[in-house]
Amino acid sequence: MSDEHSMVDAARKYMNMGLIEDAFDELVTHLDLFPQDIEAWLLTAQVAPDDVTAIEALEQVLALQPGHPDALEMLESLQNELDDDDSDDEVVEL
Amino acid sequence: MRITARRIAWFNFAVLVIALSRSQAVTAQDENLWSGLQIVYPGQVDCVSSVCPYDLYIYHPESGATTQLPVGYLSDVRDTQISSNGDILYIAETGTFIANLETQSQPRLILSSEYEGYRSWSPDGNRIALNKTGEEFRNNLYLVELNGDISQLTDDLIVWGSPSWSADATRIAIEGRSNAFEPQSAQIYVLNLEAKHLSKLTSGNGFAFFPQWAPNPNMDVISYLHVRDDKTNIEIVDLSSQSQQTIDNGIGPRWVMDGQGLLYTSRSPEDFNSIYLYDLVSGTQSLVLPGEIRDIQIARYGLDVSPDGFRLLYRYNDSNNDWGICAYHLGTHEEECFGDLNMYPDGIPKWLPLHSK
Repeated sequence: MSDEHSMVDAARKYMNMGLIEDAFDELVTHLDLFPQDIEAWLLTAQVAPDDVTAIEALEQVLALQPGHPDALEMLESLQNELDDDDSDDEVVEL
Repeated sequence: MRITARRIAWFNFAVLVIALSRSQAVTAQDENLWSGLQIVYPGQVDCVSSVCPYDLYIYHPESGATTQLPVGYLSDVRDTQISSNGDILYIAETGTFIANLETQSQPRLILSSEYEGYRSWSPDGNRIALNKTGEEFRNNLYLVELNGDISQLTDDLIVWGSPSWSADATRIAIEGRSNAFEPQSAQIYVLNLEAKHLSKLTSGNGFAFFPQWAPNPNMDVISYLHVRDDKTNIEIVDLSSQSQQTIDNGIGPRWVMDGQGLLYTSRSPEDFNSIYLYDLVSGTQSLVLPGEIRDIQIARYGLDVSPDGFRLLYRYNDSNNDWGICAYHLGTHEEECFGDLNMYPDGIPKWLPLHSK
């Protein structure tokens, strides 16, 4: 429940300070205990070390709440970035 | 047509009543779900813009009416706490305030907006425990008097989470870390305010967090969450007898029934939305609310327990994305929900005594 989310609060604080890796570590520990916490998955997507981890976090949100608007928007944005990267790679190969 | 009927029903605050039969027998002092209580919640009502501030609303169950406690634009109320005398402490963007419905006086600013972190009101309503960030990411615990005086209570711990007051308001239980960046270093500490003595309640393998003192002045019992070897248990420690009880694989503990029971949520993936009751006297567990879509809101946001310990209050969000608030009686197993198409409650709704003492 909400008051148990001290690790999420720590993560938010670290995010505000630019300590992204520390924020990610807090969220991973929290989500191991509270895998149903949608807000924590959304935050994880923001501080994930790579796009694949971010997409996995957003897919967790959508599994818990299908159609979650923020998750859908972030997922679409990430997938567009990945598609752009792929097309850039193709140009380089040519 | 069905949608229209539904809209009308919601608009009129029609009450959805679900009588749930359970084998659990609980003796309640007052079997009326709403008797002597009203509800306060932060949220948006009749908001036609996407930038409406979160104000405070009072729902009167007997009449079905909702009134707004005017806190002003940009207040953006996020959280409320209710004292035993019916005062409302609310945390807004502009600071921490105290309001009283009966006196209708202007809300009083207690803490300016520079203070972040958990605020926990003492059971007698006289003081606030606050953890706030100091230098080098170190959160310390502070005591705030209602005249605004602040004193620092800890300086060698990193305090996270919500401080929990003992029922007699003489001690505070906290979650403290030895290393700010290691959640696994968290343990439970108890601060005696009179002796100014900090003692460590937990130690050894694993880490502990989310301490909660039983709300009964005749009991000296603390619950907390303990994580060890990938298992999360709820531990219940009787400080008087030094006895301990364990609820395996549970999270979200909340004291009910004047400290005789503890509600909790299962961590099992197939059952994490169900709410159970642990009876401290018999040591038995029973299902209170089976996992359904509305209970996700309990798992995510928590619930509030009435002053008599038998009535619960929580938010719901159904599959149509309608929002509302539900009340549940642990003795009669009656559940009632109310909502409105234009109502967006936020945070945890709180029980508010109908008449202040």
